Amino acid sequence: MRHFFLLLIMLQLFVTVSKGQEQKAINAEFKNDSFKKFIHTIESLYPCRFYYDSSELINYTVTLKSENLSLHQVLDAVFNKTSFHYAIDEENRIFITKKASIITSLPKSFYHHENNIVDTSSEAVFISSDENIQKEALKVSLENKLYEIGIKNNSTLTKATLAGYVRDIKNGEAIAGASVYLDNSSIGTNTDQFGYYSLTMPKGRHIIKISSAGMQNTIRQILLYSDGKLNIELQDYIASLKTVVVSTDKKSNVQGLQMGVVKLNMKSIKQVPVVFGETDILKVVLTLPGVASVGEASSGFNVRGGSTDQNLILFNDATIYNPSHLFGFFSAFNPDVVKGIELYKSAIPEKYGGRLSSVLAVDVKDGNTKSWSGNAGIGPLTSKFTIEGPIDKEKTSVVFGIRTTYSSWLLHSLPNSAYNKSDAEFYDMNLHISHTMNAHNSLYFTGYISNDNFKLNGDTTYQYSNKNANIKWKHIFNNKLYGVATAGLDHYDYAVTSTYVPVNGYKLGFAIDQKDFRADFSYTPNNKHFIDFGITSIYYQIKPGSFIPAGQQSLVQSTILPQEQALETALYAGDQIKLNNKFSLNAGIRYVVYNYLGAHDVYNYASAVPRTIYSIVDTSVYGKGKIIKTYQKPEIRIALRYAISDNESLKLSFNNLSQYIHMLSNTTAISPTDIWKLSDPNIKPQEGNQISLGWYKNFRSNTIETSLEVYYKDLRNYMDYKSGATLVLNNHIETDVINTRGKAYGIEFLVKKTAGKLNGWLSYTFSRTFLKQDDPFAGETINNGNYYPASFDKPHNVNFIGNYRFSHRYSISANMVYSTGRPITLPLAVFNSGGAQALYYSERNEYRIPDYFRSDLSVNIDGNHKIKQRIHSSWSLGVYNLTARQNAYSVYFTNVNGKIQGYQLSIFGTAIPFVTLNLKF
Amino acid sequence: MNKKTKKYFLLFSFSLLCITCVKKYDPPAIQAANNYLVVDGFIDANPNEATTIVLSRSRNLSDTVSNIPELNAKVFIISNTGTTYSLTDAMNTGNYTSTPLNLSTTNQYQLKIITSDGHNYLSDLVPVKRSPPIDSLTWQQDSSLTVYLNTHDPSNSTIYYKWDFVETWIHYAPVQTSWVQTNGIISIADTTNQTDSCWTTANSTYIITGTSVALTQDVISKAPITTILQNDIRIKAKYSINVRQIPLTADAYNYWSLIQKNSQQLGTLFDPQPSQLTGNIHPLTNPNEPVIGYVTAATTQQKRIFINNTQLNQWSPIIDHNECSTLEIAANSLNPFVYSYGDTSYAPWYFTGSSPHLGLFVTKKACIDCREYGGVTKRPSFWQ
Repeated sequence: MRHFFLLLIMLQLFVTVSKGQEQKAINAEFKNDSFKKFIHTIESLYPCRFYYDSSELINYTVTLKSENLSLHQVLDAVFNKTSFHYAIDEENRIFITKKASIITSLPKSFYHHENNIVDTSSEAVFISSDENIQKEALKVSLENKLYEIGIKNNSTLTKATLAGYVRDIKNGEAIAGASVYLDNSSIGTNTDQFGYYSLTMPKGRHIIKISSAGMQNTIRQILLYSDGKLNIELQDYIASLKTVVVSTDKKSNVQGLQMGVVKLNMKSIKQVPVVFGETDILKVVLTLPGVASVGEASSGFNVRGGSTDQNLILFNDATIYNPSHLFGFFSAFNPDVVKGIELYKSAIPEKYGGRLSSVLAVDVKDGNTKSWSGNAGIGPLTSKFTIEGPIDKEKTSVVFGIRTTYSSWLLHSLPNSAYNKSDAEFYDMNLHISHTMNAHNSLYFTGYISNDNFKLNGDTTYQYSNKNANIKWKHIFNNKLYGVATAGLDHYDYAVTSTYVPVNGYKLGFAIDQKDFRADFSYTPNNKHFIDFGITSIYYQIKPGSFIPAGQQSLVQSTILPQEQALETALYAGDQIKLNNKFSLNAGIRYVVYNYLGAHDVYNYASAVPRTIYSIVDTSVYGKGKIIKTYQKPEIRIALRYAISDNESLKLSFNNLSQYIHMLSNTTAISPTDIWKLSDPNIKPQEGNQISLGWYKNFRSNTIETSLEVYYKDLRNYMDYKSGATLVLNNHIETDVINTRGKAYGIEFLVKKTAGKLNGWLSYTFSRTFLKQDDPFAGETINNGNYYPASFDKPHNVNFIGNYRFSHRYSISANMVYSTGRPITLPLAVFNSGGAQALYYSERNEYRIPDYFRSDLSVNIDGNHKIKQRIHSSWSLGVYNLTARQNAYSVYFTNVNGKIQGYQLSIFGTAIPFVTLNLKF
Repeated sequence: MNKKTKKYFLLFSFSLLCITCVKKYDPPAIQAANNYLVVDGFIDANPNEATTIVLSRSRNLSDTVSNIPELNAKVFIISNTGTTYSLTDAMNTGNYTSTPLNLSTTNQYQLKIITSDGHNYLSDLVPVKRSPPIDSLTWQQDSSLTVYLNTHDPSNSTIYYKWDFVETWIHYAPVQTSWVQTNGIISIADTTNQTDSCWTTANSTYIITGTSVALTQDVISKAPITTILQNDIRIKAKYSINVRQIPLTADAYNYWSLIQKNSQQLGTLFDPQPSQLTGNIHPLTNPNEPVIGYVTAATTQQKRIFINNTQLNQWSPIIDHNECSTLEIAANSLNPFVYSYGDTSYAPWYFTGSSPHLGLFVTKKACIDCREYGGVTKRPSFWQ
């Protein structure tokens, strides 16, 4: 072996420019022949000589029929899908190596010949003699190529910028969040949502490493002359059973500058236990540290002790106001059209704003640019179908997905009358079109509709719907600067209809319409700075409530509250600065201007007395488009990272946020009737500051990731309700709400095993949120002006997700969720006073509803793994809520025959077995 | 595949039977007796007026008893000058009444309570708020009828108001008789024992508050006091309402506004959020014990109006048409005024014929005695 390497070194020194070699066809047949025999045969047929380590190849046999194949074709066929590589030099010496293949030639420019030929286009060129690359051996051969990039000139600049897209080789889909960095250097970046990267580095020869979760890591060897482009395609990572994949590249949690951000691509999301047969994005989000579910089957989630309305949920930049189906049982995002998610919970990029707690960005797939493919899923409750493919190959691609439920027939067929009058229906549809006009311009269109309609026990019908559409134009100005302009429409509405008592038949409605525009720019002057800046603007229109008669016999009087509107505009700029190898800094500012606009009437209240309808002094009438009130504020975003070592770092961040749209949730009602309210002269914007500190360390070659984050938040003007507040159809809501000061703090712990037969994660979050209302002019102090727990204060949250693979085809997944029950104000007693009968309530949020606990188990069976199969199928069966615990969805009190009785409604109060078939074609 | 799927569908639908369970929610906090002391009433500073404070206990949510009076307590009004007036529960009903007092409107007063279990309670010292006179009570009828109150305080110092009322209406028996039967003897009815006309009296059952806080002058105009739905029996003939005006402090006003909200119906979409009451009565023995009540001291003003059915538009109550068939029985042959008919649901109506063949017609009590519909037959002194 030693001689072998010596030989290699000598070869590297003495080979001259490649001349190409004459092709001679090989005709031979091998059937389970030993490798030795194979070599002897080839050597006898072809003027060549093999160099190899016989101990490595002793166990290999060859089965091959070669008819007029070239030497390369024969060798490709043999070594394809083995861990061996081959290389042929000019003298037809064939070197077989196990790890990396041997480079048998040097780039022409290596010797600095004056008249060497370099492609003048800025695209990469190969200089390998091997022109006909077989797709199967692509990875190996591409990694061995040296890409010469740019124009060789006499520019005195010592640095140049490389940019391009990282895509999936299978379908041409952009890979977001892939890390691209230079080997043995701290120069690196992540691809954006379009898979685009830009990296500035010294000119010359480099090895670039590219990695992304769920994909095979790869490298590219480049020789950079000037600015240029390099598009990189990654291959699927197919988990091997016996080998534990040890990757040195998955350090982004430690090395990334962003803190409190979780990026998951669909591959990782799909590895999370499939409960109820349906991959669910929000369910995965709920298992992350710092994220808590509101309770059984609820549409919202709480991030770091924030309320559910403090999360901005973006579906390709379209705002989704209700991200769930069927009481939150399913998330409203069809997993087959989603590329990945990003959840920001501490360092929120300056690009985003308008919510206090978090930003959840859901990215949509771009669609297969190479061929048509699809997905179909059949389950007991839902079915879904997705198709994607190129309309114009490599240029225009489309993804269309539809998902629907057919549970109504099932409910109707039940003998129990309570159920056969029930209905539960929903559907969602997605359409995404990507079009590449040229190397500099791309267009993206996203359309989304979701609709829910359910009726329990034939009484009240609850319906809600999201409708969103947006169009994006991405323009690349040059390698260092690109911009994306987005224009979109977002809509959300709900209606509650009851005709149970025909005379009282009503329809209660609410709607939000939002028009938004944003222009975002990224500028990468060099590898020390990553600058982004832009402008965003949202025009809100809210129909706060309508109460209209439903049915012929209804005597209900119509009440329609006047529409309100506002404009929220923000300018932002930020810079990610690499100070040195140890320190990085991200500093950003966002300046927000919020205008509450007419036409609207605004009540003016007497000062220094509680706001009630009796303290209304007069009403100001504002005409259409008139600015009624302006709020403005600069927001500061700072994050600092200190790398202790390669796999350990500390991060510190400070955040400053404000929120102008608030959700009012009627927690005393049986069904959710949440309404949104814009800030106006009487309702101040919510403001929050957050400081957080995190420690990240990876163990065992980065296969075990751990993190520990602590945070403290300071909240102002968080809205809570006055005692006895009425929220529905109230056109003077300011008389029923109070501004509170709040504080939230917590600690989050995560341990995650990313590789091996057993993988998954365990997270624990301790988080507290307290509010305080001690303004005597508010009319009342809550709990004597002391801090009291917010209605979403849930101290303990434990999540466990585990996945054990027995074999490639069989795996078992378990999922466990525990959280403290949310606080509640209980009516404790009835009393008579002033001739009336009234309730005596406990202190605000003094008690808690029962703790939430759920465990799910599922077994996933994949069909066979033959690649050439037309349809791939997989089964998933299991049990949702294995312990059949009746978790409380809603707790409410009602007067039954003069007695006040509390009830607890559990939507899924039993163990639910399920089976789902997924087809992929 | 179809076969397999079907099998699981069945399994699924079987389990669906228990999805969406509603079960009773009775956490320990609610199951407890929760018998907290409730103090109701105010210190009446009108000249020569007695103060009544009602003590009761709050009840568990599932309790069916409508009232738990707090008996055998000691209740005192204490002035800031140190004078103590005691209140007694003469009837043993939890109503503690003082003798007629002449409290000074410049003093401050507080309430002290010692319950029979030895617990001590003390309210804050409260000033005496003086009520301006009620200017007028008016009413308006569209389909229903609403009574409004108008008042003003030239000194602009009252601002917060609470009202309660007593309403009285007259109603008649379906048929009239000039006879009355007492202890088996029939006699000519007079005003003391007639059963034709009854007066029913009721207290307000909800909290009424109002404020002029947003106005530049302390004027209450058209504050709605009560609304009577179209054709309500109360104004079949004549109706009277006497409204009492009790001035409040700002804190007391907030307290009563909350009770006003939380005494409304539960279990609908429009439920108000839970309200927390902060009274001004403090437990001295056990500082953590909840006490419900807000003691105020005030002089009050009252005003009464009458509303006659003839003043109204199309107000014709639907009456239960009791079958007022008559039944003739033979009058007592020895003394026709001795009544001995066995069915006590009947009463004498009129005599027929002439002696000795005197006949007596009887009819159902519900037809002849207005008390069957409630009320008393004694004409109230204020009735016009």
